[in-house]
Amino acid sequence: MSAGTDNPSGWTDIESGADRVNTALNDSGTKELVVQIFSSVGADSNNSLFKNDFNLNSERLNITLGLFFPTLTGTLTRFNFEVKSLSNSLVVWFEIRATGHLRWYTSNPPGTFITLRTNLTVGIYYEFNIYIDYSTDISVLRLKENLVHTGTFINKLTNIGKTGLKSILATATYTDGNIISEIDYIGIYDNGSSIAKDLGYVVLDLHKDSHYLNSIHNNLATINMSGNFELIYASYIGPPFPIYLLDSAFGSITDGFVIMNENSRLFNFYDDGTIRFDPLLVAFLNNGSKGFKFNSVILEGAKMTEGSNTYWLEYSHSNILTNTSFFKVDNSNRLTFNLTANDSDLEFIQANFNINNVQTLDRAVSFQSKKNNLAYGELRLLYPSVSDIIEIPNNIATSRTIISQNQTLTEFIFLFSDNDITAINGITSGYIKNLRLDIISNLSTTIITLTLLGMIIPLILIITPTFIFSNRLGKESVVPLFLIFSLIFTATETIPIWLFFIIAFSSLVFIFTNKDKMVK
Amino acid sequence: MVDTNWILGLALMIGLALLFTYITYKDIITFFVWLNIFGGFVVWSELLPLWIVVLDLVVLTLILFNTFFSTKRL
Repeated sequence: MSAGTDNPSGWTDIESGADRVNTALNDSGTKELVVQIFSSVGADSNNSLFKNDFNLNSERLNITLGLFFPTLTGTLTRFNFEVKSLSNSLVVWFEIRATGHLRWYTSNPPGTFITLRTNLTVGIYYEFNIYIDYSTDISVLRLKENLVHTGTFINKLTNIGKTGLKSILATATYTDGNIISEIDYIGIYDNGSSIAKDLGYVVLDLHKDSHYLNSIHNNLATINMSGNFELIYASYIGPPFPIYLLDSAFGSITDGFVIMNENSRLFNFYDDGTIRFDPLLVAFLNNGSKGFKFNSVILEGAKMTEGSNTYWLEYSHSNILTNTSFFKVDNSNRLTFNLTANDSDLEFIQANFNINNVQTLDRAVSFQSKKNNLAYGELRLLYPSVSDIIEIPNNIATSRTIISQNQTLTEFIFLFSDNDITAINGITSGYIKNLRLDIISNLSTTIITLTLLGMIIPLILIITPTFIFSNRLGKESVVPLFLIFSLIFTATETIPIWLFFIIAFSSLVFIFTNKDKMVK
Repeated sequence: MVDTNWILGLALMIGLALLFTYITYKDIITFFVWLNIFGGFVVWSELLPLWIVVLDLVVLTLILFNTFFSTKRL
């Protein structure tokens, strides 16, 4: 975008590559995407945009919003963009209805709408420039379609400009279908300079369906089992910005946070120890952040899908669900546990991670762990019909175990119990980290090769001396010698005893059925 | 834990049984006895499921009964 000549009031248009918030949504069911530039609610209650707070050089404020629908196969229930004054009255409000109509709310007369556009189209960039004049109480909405100016609409305001603004909010609500939309180029400008510093933030609900972008922006966001995030983004340019992990009870912004490493694109996750249910990932835009996008959130090796990727905790007794019995991810990316159980009952603490569609062929599970000797711990991998149980060793250890092949992994369970030991205050603790589902190429072939070797070596050990002796003693001695060496290798535990019984039974059958031949 | 491998397991079991039948006594009972022994080894190495050996034992038992109680031998 560049400075235009179609500016009605001498406003300076936004510069190319200005501050922007890119986000996208691909959801099923009723979903809401919120992009909040600033708000007077919650922790930001003192963050209202007063005229003098942000060094406004003029009496005019420019708010810019870009909208784009790459696909529109589902139902867009409503898209709202609203700007509220400090008195909570609407300064600017336009909406896009399910019919594709763009409507512009006018406050004079109040409560009336003007339909600006019908049949908004997929694949067109809509750009809205909203100019608010504090001195004259006039707002101007200018609409561009694919950067071509297509309309100007002027609305008389009622004494809102004198004090300042309360919130700028963009919300999109969808029902069913498969919609990808982008809210782009949100910015607040004063005389052409962005003042959207430390104001904007984008929320990603980690429990909702995968947040895709269209194929142009091939980004990914991943979260692995040990709790550290990996965000790969398309369009970020600028210094690191904070990303916070919050509870669904949106309000506190002082919880765990993530600081981006510009080079590796890895986000180191620092946590304050709060156990989060239904977490939200929130990215705040700082000065200089040109933009970023979230994509799907992926559990390492398994993509999270709505309604099926959940985790929950179980405790043996409600009394131990306290501050001293917990699972948490610490600042070294370790899933730590602490179990306090002073009574004589067998208590346990269990974390279940529900994942989907991980095929186990050629996979091994590996992790590092530590637990004290008092605790019993296991990692259980659930498949539809069976499960693998891997006991977690005492003290610090690294485990790597080949898991059941040709299965579909549905759940991880970490289970720790106090082993019914009441000594030493009944406290057991430890951690697991770096849990991975490693892919070992040609593992199946290796397993078959190993089992084949396991079979052939004892077989050669039995057969070779048998034939050496039978060369001297005659052909008839093959079966008795076979029987004798089988007995020897059973005694030395080279072959299992049931196999010896089969050989013994078979040899007896030989001796009886071929008795006449043997005595010849 | 390990998946069975039918081709390899059956090839080993039948091949070794035929070889040892050829070395020792060439009759059908001997063949099934060797099949039983090597079947045991193959099942032990988890290349084939357990019921292979059981099936072999049943066949062997039927042949033995037939042999022992046939009028020809009596």
